[in-house]
Amino acid sequence: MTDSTPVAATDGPSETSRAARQPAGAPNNLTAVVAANFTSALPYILVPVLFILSVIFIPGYFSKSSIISLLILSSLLGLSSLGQTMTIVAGGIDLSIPAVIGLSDIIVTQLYYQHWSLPLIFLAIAALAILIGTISAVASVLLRVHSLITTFGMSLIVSGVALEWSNGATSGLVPGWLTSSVSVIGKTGPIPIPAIIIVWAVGSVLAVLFMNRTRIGRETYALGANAVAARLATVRSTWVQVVVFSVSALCAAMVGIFLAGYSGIPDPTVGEPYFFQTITAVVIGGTSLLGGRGGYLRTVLGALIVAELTTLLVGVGFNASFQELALGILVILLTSSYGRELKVAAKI
Amino acid sequence: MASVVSRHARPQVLSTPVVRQLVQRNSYIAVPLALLVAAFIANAIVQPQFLSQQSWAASMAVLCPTVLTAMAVTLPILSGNGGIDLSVGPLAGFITVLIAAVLVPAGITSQAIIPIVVVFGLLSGAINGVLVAYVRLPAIIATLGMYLFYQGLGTEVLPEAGGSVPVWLVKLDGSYGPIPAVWVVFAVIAVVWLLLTRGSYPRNLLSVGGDERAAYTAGVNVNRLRVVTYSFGGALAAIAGLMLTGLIQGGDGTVGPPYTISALTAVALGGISLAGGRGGLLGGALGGAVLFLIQELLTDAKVSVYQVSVINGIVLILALALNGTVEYLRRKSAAAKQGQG
Amino acid sequence: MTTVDVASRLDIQDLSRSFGETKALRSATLRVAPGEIHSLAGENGSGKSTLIKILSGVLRPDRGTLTWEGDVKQHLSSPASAQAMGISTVFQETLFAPEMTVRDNIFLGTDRLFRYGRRKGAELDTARQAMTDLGLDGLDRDRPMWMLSLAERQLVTIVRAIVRPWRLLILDESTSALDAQQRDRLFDYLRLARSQGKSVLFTSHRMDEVLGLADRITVLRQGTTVATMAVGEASRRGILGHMSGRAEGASMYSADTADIVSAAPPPRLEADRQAAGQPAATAHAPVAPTPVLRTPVLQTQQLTLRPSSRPISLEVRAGEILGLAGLEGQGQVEFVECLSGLRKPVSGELAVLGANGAAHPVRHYSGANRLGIRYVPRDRRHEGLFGPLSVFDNFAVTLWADFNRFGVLRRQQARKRFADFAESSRLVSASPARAISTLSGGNQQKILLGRWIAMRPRVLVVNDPLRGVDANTKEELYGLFRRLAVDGVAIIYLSTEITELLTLTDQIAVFHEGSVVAMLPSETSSDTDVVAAMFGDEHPGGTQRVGADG
Repeated sequence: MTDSTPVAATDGPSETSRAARQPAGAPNNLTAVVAANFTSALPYILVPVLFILSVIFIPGYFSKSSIISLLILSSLLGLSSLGQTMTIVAGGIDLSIPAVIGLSDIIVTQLYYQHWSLPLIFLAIAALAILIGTISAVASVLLRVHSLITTFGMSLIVSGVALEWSNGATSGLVPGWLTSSVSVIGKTGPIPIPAIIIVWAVGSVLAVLFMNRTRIGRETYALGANAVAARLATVRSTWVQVVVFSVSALCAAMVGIFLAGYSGIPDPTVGEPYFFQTITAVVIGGTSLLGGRGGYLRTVLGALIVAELTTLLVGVGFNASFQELALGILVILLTSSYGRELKVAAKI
Repeated sequence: MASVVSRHARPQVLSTPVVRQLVQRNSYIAVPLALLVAAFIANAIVQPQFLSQQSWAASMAVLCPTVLTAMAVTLPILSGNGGIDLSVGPLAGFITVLIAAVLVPAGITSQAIIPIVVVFGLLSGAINGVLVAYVRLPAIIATLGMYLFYQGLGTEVLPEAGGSVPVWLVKLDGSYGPIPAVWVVFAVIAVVWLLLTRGSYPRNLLSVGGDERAAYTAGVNVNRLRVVTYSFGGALAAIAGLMLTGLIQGGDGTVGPPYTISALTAVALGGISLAGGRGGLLGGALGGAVLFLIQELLTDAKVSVYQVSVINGIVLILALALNGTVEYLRRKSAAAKQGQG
Repeated sequence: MTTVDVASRLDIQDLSRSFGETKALRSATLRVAPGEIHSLAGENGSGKSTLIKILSGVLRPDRGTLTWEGDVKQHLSSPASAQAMGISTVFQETLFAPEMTVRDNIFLGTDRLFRYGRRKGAELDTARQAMTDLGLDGLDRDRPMWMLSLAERQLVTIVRAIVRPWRLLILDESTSALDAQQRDRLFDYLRLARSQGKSVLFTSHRMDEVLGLADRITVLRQGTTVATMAVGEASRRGILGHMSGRAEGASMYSADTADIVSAAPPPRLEADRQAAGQPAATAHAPVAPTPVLRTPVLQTQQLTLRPSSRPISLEVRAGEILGLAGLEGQGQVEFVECLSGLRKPVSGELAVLGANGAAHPVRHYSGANRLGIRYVPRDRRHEGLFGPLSVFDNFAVTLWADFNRFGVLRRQQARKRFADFAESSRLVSASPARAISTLSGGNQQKILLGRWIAMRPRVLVVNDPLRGVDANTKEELYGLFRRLAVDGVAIIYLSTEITELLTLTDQIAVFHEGSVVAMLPSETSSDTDVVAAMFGDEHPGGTQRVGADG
C-alpha cells in the first residue's frame, strides 16, 4: 500500500495518468483522446449495457418487480460501499464491514425481540458503530499501520462478538415496516418503492455533496493523495480517519439492519458476501485503490454493475459455483480495461 | 539490531559485514521470535502433553498448511507496491480437489503428484504475477479475481467433499519413525529456498519492494522479478494444498478461505510490513507458527470458538503495536545517533 | 582510460515525443563527443527531462534517430540496456531503496535475477574507489539508506552510476542537494573522466556550474533545440535569452542574477485590487529594500540545536528577509525545523512576539501555524504536492479551515483568493481545475508557495524553495518574496545558492557546527565572505559576530 502518489517532478507538462496509458506516438491524436475518455466512461456504459443483456437473456426480466429487485440489491451493496469509498479515497480500506453488518443484524433482531424501543436500538447500534470505526481509525494512526490490517483485526473481534452473542439465539424479531423496506412490494408512504432505495438515493446525494463540498471531504482527498503533505498542510488527518471509518461502520450497521428485515432471523454471517463485494463495487466503479481520486458517484455505478452482473449470472442459470468463477474472471477483465495502474517508467 | 552490535564492543567476527548485513536485514525477526517463544511456553504450561511425541506429529501436520500459506503470501507482500496474494487459500483448497477428484481418478497416484502440483502452483502464481506486473492490475483485485475463480472452480468440479487420496500422501502428515514427516517437507523447502536466495534474488526483491523506481532505473527487471516472486508464492500455496489433502484425506473446495485469513494474520504477526521492502520468508513462517500455537492454546484452554476469533483479532492488534513500537524505537535511536543536519 | 575512436559518442537527430496531446519534445538535436562535458540547458517545460528519460531507456521516442558510437538505434528498450551500452544516468529525483544498505544500493541492478554480478570482494573494492573520489570514504557501506542525509543519498546514487563501466554519464540536476565542497569534488571527478575520453551530459539550473564545467552547451526551448555553442562563445545573458526566447538584452527581467528588478504589475490590476478592498500590492519595490525599522516578530533565546553546539540568540523583524546558509549538515535545516515547530531544540526558547511585545512560545507544528508561522517544505514531491488533485485543490487546502460555514465550504472566497494569487505571481494558464501534474515544476512551486502565502503568514519559513526551478520563474518568485517582505512578512530563507542569498536577503546567518557563526549583511558582503564563514571563519571580511540580538 503506497502512501504517497508519484507525480512527475519538475520538468515539462508531465503525463496525467490518463495520458500515460497512451501508447508512445499515438498516430491519431483524436483516437487517443477518444480511447482515454472511453475507458473512464466505461462504467457509465456498462450499466445500461448489462441491463439490456439481462432483458435479452432472461425471460420476463423487463418487469417492475425485477427492476425493483435489482435496485434493492444495488442499494444494499451501494450503502455498504458508501463508507468504503471514503476510506479508500482517504488512502485506506475497511475490511470490517461484513463483521459490523453481522453484528448489527444480531443486535436489532435480539433487542427487538426483547422489546427494546426502536429508537433506542438504533441509537445503540449507531453508538457501537461509531465506537468500532473510531477504534479502527485510532489504532491505525497510533500503530502506524495500514488500515487494511487494523480493520482486519477489528473484523475478527467484531465477528467473534457477533457469533458469541448469537450463540443459541434461534429466533429474533423485526418490525414489519423494516421487512417491507427491503421487500419488492414494499412502499414508502405513497411511493410504490421500498424504502431502502429511497434511503440509498438520498444517501448518495449526501455522500457526493459531503466529499465535494465540505472541509472534511476535501481533507479526505488530500489525505489519500499524500499523507505527509496533508499533515504539513494542517489537514486534520486523525479526525478525517475517525470520520470516514465511523461513516463506514454506520453504513455497514444500516445495511445490517436492512438485512435483518430481509430474512427476519438473526444471522451473524449475513455480511460475509460483502467482504469483497464492497471493494469490487468501488474499484469497478473506477475509484483507484491508491487514494485521492474517484468518488461516490463512481461507486454507485460500480454497485449497479456488480448487482446487474450477479443477477444476469443467476438469471441465465449459473449455479453458485459458476457465478463465483465467472465473477472472478469478470472482475479481472473489467479492471484490465480501466483500472490499470501506471507503468514503473511513468512514475519516474 | 545493527546499532546494538556497534554500540557495545564485540569480538571481531560479529562486526564483519556479512554478519552485520544478516543482522540488519533480519532484525524484523525479533518480535515474532519473542512471540513464538512466549506462545510455546504458554502451550507447554497449559497442556503438558503438548510436548509429547504423538501430539507433536499431529500438531505439525495441522500447522503445516497454515505456515506454508503464510509463507506464500509473504513473498508478494515483500515485492512492494501493494503486493499481496489473496488467492493462496482457495488455491490450496483447489489443489485438494485437483488431487482427489482429478488426478487420482485419472490413475495418477504415485509421487508424480508432487511435481504436478508444484508446477500448477508455479503457473497459477505466474498468472497472478503477470496480472500485477504486465497488466498492472492492483494486486488486491487481481488476486481477488483468482480467489473467486478457484473458489468457484473447486466447488464446481467437486460439489461435495470426498474423493480418495493415496496412502503415501496421508503418511506425509504422520511420522517417519521419530521424525514428523512434515519436518522433512520443511527441510526440503528450506534447502531449495536457501539455494535460490544465495545470490542476488533477495537484494533484487527487497529493493523492488523498497522503491521499484530505484530498482527499475538501476537496471533491475522489475516485471520479471514480480512474476517470479508470485510464482514462488503460488508454488508454496500449492504445497500447502498438497499437505492439506493428506490432512483432510480427501478433496474439499470450501476449505480454502480460512487459510487466506490466517495467512494475512500470520504475516502481521511475523513482523512483515505491508508496504514491502522489509522482512523475509522466515518471518512469514514464524508468524504462521505463532498463530497456530495461539490457536492451540485457546483450544486447550477450552475457549469457545467465537472467543477464538475475538482473541485472534486482539492478538493481531497487539502484535502490530509491538512491531510498531520496536520499529519506532529502532529509527529513533539510530536518528539520534546521526544528529541530522 | 580508452579513447573511443568515433566522431561523436552520442548523436541525436530530430527526436520527438508526445504524451497524449502534449508535445514534450518536438525536434531535439544533440551531439556529444568523446572526452567532452556537455550541458543541456532549458527552462522547465523545455523537454530536458523527457530527453534524458529517452537517453536512459525509460521512455521511447516517437520519431528521430539516436546514434550511439556509430550504431543507429531506434530506441533504448530499458534502463538495463542503456547501461549495458555504457550510458549511466543519475536522475533528478534521488531514487533509492530505504531499507537496504549503501552497498546494496550502489550495486543495485548489476546482478542478474538470481546471480550476483560481482563477487562480494570485488564489489567492495570497486565501491571503495568510487566513494573516495566523491568524498564518501568515511561512510559506512553497511548503513541502511534511510539513515543518510539528503546529500549523502544523492552522492550514493552518483556512485551507483559511476561504478558500472560507463562511457556517457548523464547527470540530471545531480548537485541540487550538495554543498560547495561536495560539488567541487564531483566536478574534479568529472574533469578527470573527461581527460580519459569519457563523456558527460548534465543539466543544471545554476549558471555558474554550466559555464564553469561544460565544454559545449545545447539549449532546448519548448521541445526543440534552439542553440548549440562552445562555452567560450556563450554568455549568461545569451543562454538565458535562448532559453526564454527573448532576444539578448531585451528581457523584461535582467538576465543577470546579480541585479534583479521586480517588475510592477500592470496598473489595471492595481486598480482592481483597490476596488476589491484588498491591500495595495506594493510592487514598486526598490532593488534592495532597506528594512524600515519594524517591530521584531520572532525571537530565539539561547536556542541550542545540538548538545555540543553554541546557543543561538537572534531576532527577526517584520519585513526582514533573513537568509540561512551553510555547508550541508551544519544545522540550518534543524534550525528551520525548530522554527516551524517540527522539532524540539535541545534547549532554549523560541517565541513569536505579539503586537504588544508578548512572547508566545512555539511548541509544536500546529501551534506554530496558529501563531502565523508558515513552513514551506523542501521536497515538493513528497511533502507538498497532492498529485491526483487539481491546481485549485492544491492551493486551497489550507484555506478550508477558515473558509467554511459549519463545515460546508465557501468556495467563492477561495476561488477569489486563488485568482488574486494567480495574477500576482503571474501563474501561467491559471485554469484551476487542471490536474497539478500537468503544470511545470516552476508553476507547481508557485502553487505550493501560494498555499502558504494565501494564509497571510506573519513569518514565512522556506527551505530551498527554488531548487530545480528555471531562471525566469525564479525571478518572478523573487519579486513575490520582496513584495511579501514589503507587506510586513518576515521571511526565513534557507538556500544552498549563495548568489541567491546575497541578492534576495537582508542578512545571512551562516551555520557551522550546529550554530550561527556569523551574521553577514547581504548588501556589503561577498561570495567569499559567506564561503569563508561557512568553513568556520568567524570574522570574514571584518563583519560583526553573532551577538545577543543578532
